[in-house]
Amino acid sequence: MVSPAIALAFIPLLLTLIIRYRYYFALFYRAVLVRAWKDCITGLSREERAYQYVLTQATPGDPDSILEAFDIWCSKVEYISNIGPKKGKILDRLLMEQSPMTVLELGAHCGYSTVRIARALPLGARIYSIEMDQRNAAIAEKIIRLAGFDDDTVELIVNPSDEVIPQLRSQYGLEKLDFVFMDHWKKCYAPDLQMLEGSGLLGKGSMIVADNVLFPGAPKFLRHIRKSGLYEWKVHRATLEYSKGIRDGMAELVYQGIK
Amino acid sequence: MGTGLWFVSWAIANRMKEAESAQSPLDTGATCFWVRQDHERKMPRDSLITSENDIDIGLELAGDKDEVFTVQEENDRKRQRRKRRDGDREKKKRAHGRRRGSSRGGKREDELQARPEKRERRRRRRTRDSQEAGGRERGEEEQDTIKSSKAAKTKKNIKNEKTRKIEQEEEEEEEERNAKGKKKHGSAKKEEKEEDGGKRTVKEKSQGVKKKKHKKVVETSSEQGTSEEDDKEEEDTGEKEVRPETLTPEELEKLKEAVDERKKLIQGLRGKPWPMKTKLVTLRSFWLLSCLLLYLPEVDVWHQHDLVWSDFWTGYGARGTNGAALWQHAKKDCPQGRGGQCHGLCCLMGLWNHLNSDLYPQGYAQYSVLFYGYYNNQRAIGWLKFRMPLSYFLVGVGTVAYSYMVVIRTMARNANESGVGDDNSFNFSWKIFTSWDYLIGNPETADNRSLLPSPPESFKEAILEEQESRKDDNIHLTRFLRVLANFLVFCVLSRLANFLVLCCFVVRSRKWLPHLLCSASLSEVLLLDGLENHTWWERNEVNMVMSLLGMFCPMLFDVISTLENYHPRVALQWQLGRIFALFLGNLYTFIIALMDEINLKREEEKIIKFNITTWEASLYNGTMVENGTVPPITIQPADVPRGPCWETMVGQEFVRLIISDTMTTYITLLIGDFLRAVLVRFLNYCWCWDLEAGFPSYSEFDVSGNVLGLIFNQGMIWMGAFYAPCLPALNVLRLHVSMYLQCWAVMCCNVPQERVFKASGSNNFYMAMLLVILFLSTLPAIYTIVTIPPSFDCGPFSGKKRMFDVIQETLESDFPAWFSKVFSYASNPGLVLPFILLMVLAIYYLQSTSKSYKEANVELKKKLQTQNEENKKKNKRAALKAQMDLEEARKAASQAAEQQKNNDASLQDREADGEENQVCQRQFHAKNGRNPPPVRNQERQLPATRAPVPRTYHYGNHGAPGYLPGFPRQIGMEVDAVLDSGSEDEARRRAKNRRAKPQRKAKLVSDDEEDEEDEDEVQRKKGRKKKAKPRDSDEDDEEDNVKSKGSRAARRKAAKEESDEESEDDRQRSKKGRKAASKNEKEGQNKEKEGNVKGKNRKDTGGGKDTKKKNGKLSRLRAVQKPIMKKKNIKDRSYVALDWQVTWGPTLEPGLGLGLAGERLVARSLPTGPGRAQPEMATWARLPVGSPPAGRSMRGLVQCGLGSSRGREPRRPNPWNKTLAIGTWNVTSLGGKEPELVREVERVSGGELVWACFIAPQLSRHVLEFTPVNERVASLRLRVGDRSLAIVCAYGPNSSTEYPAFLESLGGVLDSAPAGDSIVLLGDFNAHVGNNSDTWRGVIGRNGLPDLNPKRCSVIGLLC
Repeated sequence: MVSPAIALAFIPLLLTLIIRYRYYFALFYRAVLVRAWKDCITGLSREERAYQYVLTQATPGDPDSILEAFDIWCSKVEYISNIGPKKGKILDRLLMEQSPMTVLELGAHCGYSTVRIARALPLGARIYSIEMDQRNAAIAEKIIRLAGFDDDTVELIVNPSDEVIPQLRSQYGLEKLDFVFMDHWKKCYAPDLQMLEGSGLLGKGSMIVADNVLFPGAPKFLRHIRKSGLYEWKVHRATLEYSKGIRDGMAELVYQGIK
Repeated sequence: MGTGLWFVSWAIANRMKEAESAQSPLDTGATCFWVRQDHERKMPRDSLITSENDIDIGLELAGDKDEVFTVQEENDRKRQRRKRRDGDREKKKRAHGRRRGSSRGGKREDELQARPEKRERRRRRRTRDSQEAGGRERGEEEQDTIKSSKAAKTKKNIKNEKTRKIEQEEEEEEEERNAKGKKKHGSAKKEEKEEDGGKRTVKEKSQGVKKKKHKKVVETSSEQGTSEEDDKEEEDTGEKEVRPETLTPEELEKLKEAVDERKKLIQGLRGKPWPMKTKLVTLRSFWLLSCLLLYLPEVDVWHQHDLVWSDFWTGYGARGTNGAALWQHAKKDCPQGRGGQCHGLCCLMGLWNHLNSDLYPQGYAQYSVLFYGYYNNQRAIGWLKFRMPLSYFLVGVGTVAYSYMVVIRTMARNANESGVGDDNSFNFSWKIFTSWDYLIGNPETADNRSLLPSPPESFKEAILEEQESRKDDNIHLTRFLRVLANFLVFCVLSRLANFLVLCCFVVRSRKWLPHLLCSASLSEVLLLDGLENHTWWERNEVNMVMSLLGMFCPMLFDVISTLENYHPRVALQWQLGRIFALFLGNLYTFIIALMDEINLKREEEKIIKFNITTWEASLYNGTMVENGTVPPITIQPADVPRGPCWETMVGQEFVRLIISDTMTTYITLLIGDFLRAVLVRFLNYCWCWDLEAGFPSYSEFDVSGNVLGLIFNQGMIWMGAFYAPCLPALNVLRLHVSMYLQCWAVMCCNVPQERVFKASGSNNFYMAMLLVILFLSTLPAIYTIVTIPPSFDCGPFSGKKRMFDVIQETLESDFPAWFSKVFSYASNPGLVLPFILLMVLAIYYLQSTSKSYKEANVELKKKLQTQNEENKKKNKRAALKAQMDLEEARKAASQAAEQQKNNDASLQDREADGEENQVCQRQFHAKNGRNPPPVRNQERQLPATRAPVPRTYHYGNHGAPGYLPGFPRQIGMEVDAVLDSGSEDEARRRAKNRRAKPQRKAKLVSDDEEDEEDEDEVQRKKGRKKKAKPRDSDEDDEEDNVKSKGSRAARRKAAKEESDEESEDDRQRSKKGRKAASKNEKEGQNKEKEGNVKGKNRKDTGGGKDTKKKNGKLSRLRAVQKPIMKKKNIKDRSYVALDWQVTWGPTLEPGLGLGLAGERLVARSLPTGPGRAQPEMATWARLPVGSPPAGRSMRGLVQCGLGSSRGREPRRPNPWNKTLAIGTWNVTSLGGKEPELVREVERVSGGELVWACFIAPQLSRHVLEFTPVNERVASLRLRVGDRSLAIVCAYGPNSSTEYPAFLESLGGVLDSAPAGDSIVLLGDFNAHVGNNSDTWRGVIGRNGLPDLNPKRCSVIGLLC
């Protein structure tokens, strides 16, 4: 029999938890509750709603405005876990520094990061974007086209990443990947990375950037890169996209090869 | 009367049952409350007076019976004592108690059947018991009489014969009462039975309710369990002597019936939809009934005990225990004629009491050494005549005095040290230079530590975060949040929001409500209510709640402070303040409640005292009457009513507080830290997000919170030590245990705080807190000592008016008469007042002296400053003259410039470098014009094996005592971030170079694929070839640097050539001749060579060179125009000088040079291992420089170039190691060379410039970009090896108004640095960090200014 006084003494604790994790609650509300509600109401998927918004708000052919529209929608209306503007800037910078010619993107989702990457690429570079979900891929395709990137720049592959990666060399004629961006299922980070290592597509100096390694988090991935010794790596600490209180990180790996 | 009581109690019991079955426990509560209110204060008097009234009845009992009973009493008492000792065991059984209770009923019945045999057995046993116990008993009795101990358990003494007599009288009186009571009750019982045979009939008479003013409290399950347990045992042993005299079969039947009825009820009890409380009460009533049946087979006795038991039931049983009061009451009511039974009961009750509160000092340890009550007022003990009360008093007061002394002395000592020892000011430097904790010895901790982000990273992130937060939040929101936060905190802190709300839920019955309405605190309410009237849980609930609040509220405050968005340091201060307020509030509520309770107890005491006197008187009378007829029965000391010893109560409260505090700590450790850590650690492998980095993570070790906790703990000790003398010992024990426990917890399940801020500033912060707490905690203690008279019957001061009377007493009785006389004179106000006056005067005098000293100090400081100013002015004048001189030289210079402009760009650069070097050199001379360095040409020829010289040695001219006052800017530290192989040879070379510096200081010495010997050779050659002129000029400078004339231009030229050549030499030293080749030729060679060079970098930069050629202006010397800064006010600008080896430090006067070197220079983790914790090697990591030949490792250790390299073991220098030295210096300290510099820069950049950056020509290839952000911050990116290095140079403004802007721009630069870069942050932050070279050994030289300025805070603010 716990006395109510004791129970009430826990109120500060409760308050503490609520205040400390308020961003998580907010995220839960926006990403789960609002989404479910809107799904019920509109009958459209979240990505479709986002696409509709972007279509009405953004200037076609202007990647910047499309990204901006996305950002607004994601921060004000609903929530989609794109890479977001802040981490996007880091990504942009890395791309600028690296100037990769061949980019592999795992998890296009609705094309935000694809546009972001394509925007920063040098002329003649090509980005291979892998998306598993059919509907999302359709939207991503539309978005990419809307942003004005053609097939030469962006190649969207609709298949699970673990199927595509082994075929990259044979089917798509890739020799070396300069840049890999991972933003798909967090559980797939580690196996996909290992698959990439095995496929021999990574050369010395290839850069791999993985989003959301801290939240939702890919501990196995981090453990792998920590142990493998194949990479020089660092984690850019930032906050979760469209939410300023949740800590997140973006891992930047540079493949060193076996020494 | 007895009938009435019995009846009423029965009626009330029935009513309660009714209420229960109606499922309205609140009604019961209300009744209880009423009854209780009335009863509370009258009870003792009631009982006593009742007994008084009872006296006139004659006695009936036979003597032999009495004797038996007495023996039995003794037995019981002993048993009781034993039981108390076994308290713990009993408590464990509690849990089962209730369940067993129901089944026990049946058993009892069976026993009842078998009663006759049992009785027989019991009788036998009893006699045996009495025989064997007799001797001991008698001894004990004797002891009792001698000591006149009052309580069964204590050695409480009553000092004189009189009391003993009284006790005997009391016994006799009790006998009388017994007899009378028996009669009465017996008749009453019969009457009642006639009225209604069924016991369950309700007799509700208002009269009954009124009369039945006995205690009632809500009961909890555990209590019930215990009591059952005890009673059971007690019964088994204690009832032997009961004789089956007159219990009629029908009565027995009735009883059985009742029991059966209850039994049925209870069997179905579990399934009944009643509240728990109701069930319990039912159960209890059943149990009591069955007990009665068993215990009291005879009618008379039954009647008597029915009274008692029903008391128990309605009051005692329903409410839990009330120690002394009920005890006494029961004893008084209990007819002593049936002494045995009654004593059985009494013992039982006592046992119950004790078991109820066994764990806590309340019961068991109540009269132990731990508390005030244990000590008696015997003036002298033993043959030594130990003055117990006196020493008690003196120790109590002395402890407090000693504590004051220690705290204040420590504070004073800290204050002395705080001039240098203020850690607060060093934070920035701590971060930069000593981010590695050298104390870390074991690898685990090292790993832990390395998990933290590296300083540059954390800087950047922190800056980023702060900017973000500044950007995102508008000021209104922030303000609103702050107000909200404070409101929240206020709510938490204030009693109303905290305790009142809690209380409303806490209260079990409404009886607290009136209290609640007038007083706000829960603890107060509980205390007012009388702590003994509640169960263990209830009694300790307050403490638990307090502890819990003390645990959780800081967390809440912490979180709230994040809402407020203050700077972390400010936030931490707020937090500490809030915790302080919380603890203090808790403590003081507690004290106030205690005070109330003390007052209550004292009132009670008054009553008891009165009663005792009357009672004693009556006893006396009784004895007179009955003298001789009754054999002397030793009365149990416990029967003597005792006053509530408020001192013991206070002590108990504090002990309880400490214990619950400890328990909370342990539970927190176990759950909050350990379980959480286990969860995080082992669940992380199968969790979808990173538990360690994300949501639960490990708990941080909160240093400041823990320190605060310790402080408050100490406060409690101070407060309670007087009334619980063993409290400090207890606390020491507790602290030891918790230290080890916490140590373990910290090591295994805590992580270091993410951001460590020393909110304290210094040790004195916490010491001051301790002092405040000491004051606040001794205040109430001393208040009670001085103002409240001690209890009349307990403690060493009993019988005295005030506690301090003991001194008076000692003076009078233990000292010779003259002494007390003297003392009385001395304590005469006429003497004391002047003495105090004298003391005040002395204090005043001392204070004013220290003030004047302080003023003198300030004056001295001012003087020093003005002297510095003067020096500066002198330098300025010198500069002006030099400028005039240079006017002449300018033409030549421009000519040369034109000539060179036609030439290759790289040459220009080299020239510029040469120029810069020249400038450096001159600046050096000009700066310390008074004390020109000696030419130490010969030192260059020193053999390479010369032992390394401590660094400061070279700067003899600076380190010399004469240096200090005249030197314009001797701020900060000398940092020499020379990156080299870390070998001794290397160090030696550096040392040599430094020594050679006066001649060719800024020369670009070692571009260094060369070994030491090579370099030596080169130097020698150079010296041979070129030295003549420069040395002349040096000598010139030495003589008079103001007077450097037109020869300067020539000299400069020469210097240029020299540097050019040298660099060329360096590059192609072995291949080419040492002649000064024509420049074109050289360029050609250069190119050729570069074409050949194996390194890729070189190729790259070679390619870059071509482009640079095109826009020659911006080639090596990157001079970017910045219109904002027109050239004139060049004074405050700082430049970045980069060189292959610019050895700098005091020679170049870097001001506060802050280099960020070491581990973080490269984004590569250090090799782990035992070597890690060694300072020299640990912090500094490898930085690859230049282009290594393939296949060779090209890393060198970056070393802290300061201090001696003595400890280092000699190692072969790696020839491929490059030394990269980076330095800044202040234009102010150029000492007259500014115009020259400006001109030179202008020349290079085409007339309008303001931003320049001097780089060694060899390094220019590696330059990626140069960004002058503003006049105070510039950054330079270099590609070094295969990574890039961002060098950020800053020069903090002197005025604090400009400082924020500066910090912001600096932050921006740090922020914008690309993520992959290693950042070197250096420059002058104008943040004085002091010259405590012990602290900074190996980091800062001894030339820092001793004072500290406030800017350090801002810098730290930026970087933290």
